[in-house]
Amino acid sequence: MRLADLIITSSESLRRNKSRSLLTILGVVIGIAAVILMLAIGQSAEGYILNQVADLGSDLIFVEPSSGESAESGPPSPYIEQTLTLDDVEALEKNDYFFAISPVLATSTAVSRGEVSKFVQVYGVDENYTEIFSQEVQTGRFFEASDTDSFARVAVLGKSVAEDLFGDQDPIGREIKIKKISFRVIGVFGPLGSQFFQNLDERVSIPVTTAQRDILGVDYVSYIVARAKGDPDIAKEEAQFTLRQTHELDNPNGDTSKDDFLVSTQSDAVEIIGAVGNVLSILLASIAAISLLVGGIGIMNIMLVSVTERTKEIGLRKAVGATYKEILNQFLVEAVMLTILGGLIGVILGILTSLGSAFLIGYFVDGWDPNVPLNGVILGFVVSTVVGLTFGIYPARHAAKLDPIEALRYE
Amino acid sequence: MALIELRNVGKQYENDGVVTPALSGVTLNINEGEFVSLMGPSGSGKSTLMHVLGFLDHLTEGEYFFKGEDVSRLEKDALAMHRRKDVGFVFQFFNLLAKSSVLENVMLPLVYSGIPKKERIKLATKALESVGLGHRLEHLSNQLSGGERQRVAIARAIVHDPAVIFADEPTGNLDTKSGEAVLKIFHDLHKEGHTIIMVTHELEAAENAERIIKIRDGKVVSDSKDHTRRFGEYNK
Repeated sequence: MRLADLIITSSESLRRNKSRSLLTILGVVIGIAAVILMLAIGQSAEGYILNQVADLGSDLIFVEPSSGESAESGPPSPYIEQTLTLDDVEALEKNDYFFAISPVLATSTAVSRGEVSKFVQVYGVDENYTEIFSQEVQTGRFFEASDTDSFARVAVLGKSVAEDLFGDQDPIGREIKIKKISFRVIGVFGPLGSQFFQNLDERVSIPVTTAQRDILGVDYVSYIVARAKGDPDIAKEEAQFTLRQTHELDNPNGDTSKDDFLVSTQSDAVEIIGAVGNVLSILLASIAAISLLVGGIGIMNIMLVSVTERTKEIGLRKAVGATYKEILNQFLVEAVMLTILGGLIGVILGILTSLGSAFLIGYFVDGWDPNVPLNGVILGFVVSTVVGLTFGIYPARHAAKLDPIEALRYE
Repeated sequence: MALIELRNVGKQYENDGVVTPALSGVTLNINEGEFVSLMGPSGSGKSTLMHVLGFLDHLTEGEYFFKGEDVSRLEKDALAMHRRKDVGFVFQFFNLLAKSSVLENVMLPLVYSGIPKKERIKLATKALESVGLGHRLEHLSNQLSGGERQRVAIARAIVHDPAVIFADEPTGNLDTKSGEAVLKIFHDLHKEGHTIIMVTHELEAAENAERIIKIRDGKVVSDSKDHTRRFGEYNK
C-alpha cells in the first residue's frame, strides 16, 4: 500500500465521523492550548521581571547578611544575624572597585506633621544612595556627607509622602516627626514610580547614622548597595575578600557557605529568576502531561469503539488482501492524525489566548510584553504526535489482529 | 496442472480444548476456467472449505497446491498476499463500505496492491461497466438496490483479474429477479474464462454451475459434472 493511499484512507475514515473526531480531540486541544498559554504568561512575567532587573544596571552589587549555611540569596530575614555595619561600608569604600556605595537600614513606621500621619518606609541611607539608583531630587537637595557624619535630623520625602503631609505647601525647611523625633525636610524627590512592586514615592530617606542611633537604636545596617567599576564579578570577589578581612573570617578558599554575608550581582539575580522560571516550567509540564494523558486515554477509548464498530470493514479490507501491518498503520495514522489535528487547533487556540491575555494584562501592567512561546508550539506538535502513537497503538493492534472470517461475520 | 489441488485436507477448530473437525480427508482438483458449486446444508463445512481455498483460513492437515505452489503452511501475511493477487470474494451480505462511492468500493483491492490512482480508476470503471453499472460510479453504495450492490461486489471481486472468484451464497440475500441477474453475470464471467467457485445450499443456484461438489459433515460426498440445468439457457 502506498503512503499517500494510507493517509487518504485514514483521513476519509475521520471525515466520515466529523463530529465524533472533533469531540475526541477536545482533550488534546485544551491540553496543548493550556500549555502554550501558561508558557506564554510565564515567559512574559519572567521577561517583565528581568527587564526591571536590567533597568537597575548590570553593575549593581548587593551585600546582605547571611547565616552562611546556604549560598542562596533572598530577602533579609529577622532570624538572620545582622552582621553588616558602617565599618564594612568604610572598608569597601577604601577599595577601588566601586564608585558608589551606600548602606541601607530600612524600617516601616509612621511619619507625621501635626495631625496628619502616614505609614511609610523609612530608609536610612548615605549621601551616595541617589547616585546608585539615579533618583533625582525635584525640590531642595539630598543630604550630604556632613549630614551623615553629624547624625543630622534631616529628611528627603518621596513625592506622595510630601503631597499627603503638606498638600500644596512647600515642605522644604518644615518639620516632620518620625517616632516623636523632629526632622527637617530638605528635599522632595520627583516621581519615581515603583520598583519590584514597591512604591518609591512612599518613602522617606534619612541619614543612616541618624536612623541607627535615633530611630532603631542599632549599630548594624540592613544591607549595602554599590555600583561596580569595571567587571561586576571581579568587584564581587573583591568585596568578599575585603569583608572576610574586616569580619576576621578564616576562609582562605573563598567558601561562601562559611561567610556571614552574601554578595550578589545582577547576573546572580538573573540566575535566580531563571531558576524560579525552571521550577515553574517543570510544574507546567506536569500539569500538561496529566491533561495530555487524559486526552490520550479519551482518544484510545474512542479508537477502540471505532475499531469495534468497523469490525466488518476491517474484515473486508483483510479479505481483499490487507496485511496486519496495513491495518495497524491505518488505525495508527488515524489516531496520530486526530492528535496532530488536536495539536494544531490547540496551538492556534493557545497563541490566540496568549496574545489576548497579554493584551489584557498589558492594560494594567506597564511593560508587560506579549509572548508566543515557540518552544511551546513545537512541543505541542511533538507531544500530540507522541500521544497519538502511544494511545493509538493498542486499538490499532486490536484491529490488525482481527481474524478476517470472524470480522466478516460480525454483526 | 490443476489450478487448485487439495490432498487429504483437514481442518479442525479448537475451542476450550474441545476439538471440532470441520473438514476431513478432502481431496479434489479444480482446473482453470471451471465453474464449481460447493453445496451442502449449513454446518456441512462448505464455507470452511471456501475459506481454506480462498486463503482466509489455515488448514490443519493435508496439502494445498495453488498453481503448483505448496500453500499449505503459509503465514498470515503470505495468505494476505495471495488474497490480494489471486482471489476475489463475493459475499452474501455484499460487505460494501456504506459511506464510500461505488467507484471507491471497487478500487479497494487495488489500493492494497499499490496500483496508482489513475490506473485504479481505469480498472474499476472497466469492471463496473462489465457488470452494467458504468452509470453509477459516483453513487454511494447505500443508495443502491440489493441487486446493484451485489453487482458492485462482483466488480470488486474481478477488478484485479484474479485467478479464482469465490462467491459465498451470492443470491441468498436477493429477490429472484436480482438473483438471476447476478447468476447471469457469473455465467458471463465463466464464458470469458474466469474460474468461479460458488458456495450455496440452494440446489437451484448450484445447478447453474457445470460441476457440483456436495459436502456433508466435512467430507466430499459427491462430485458431479452431470446435472440438468446447464448454463446454456441464458444464451437464448
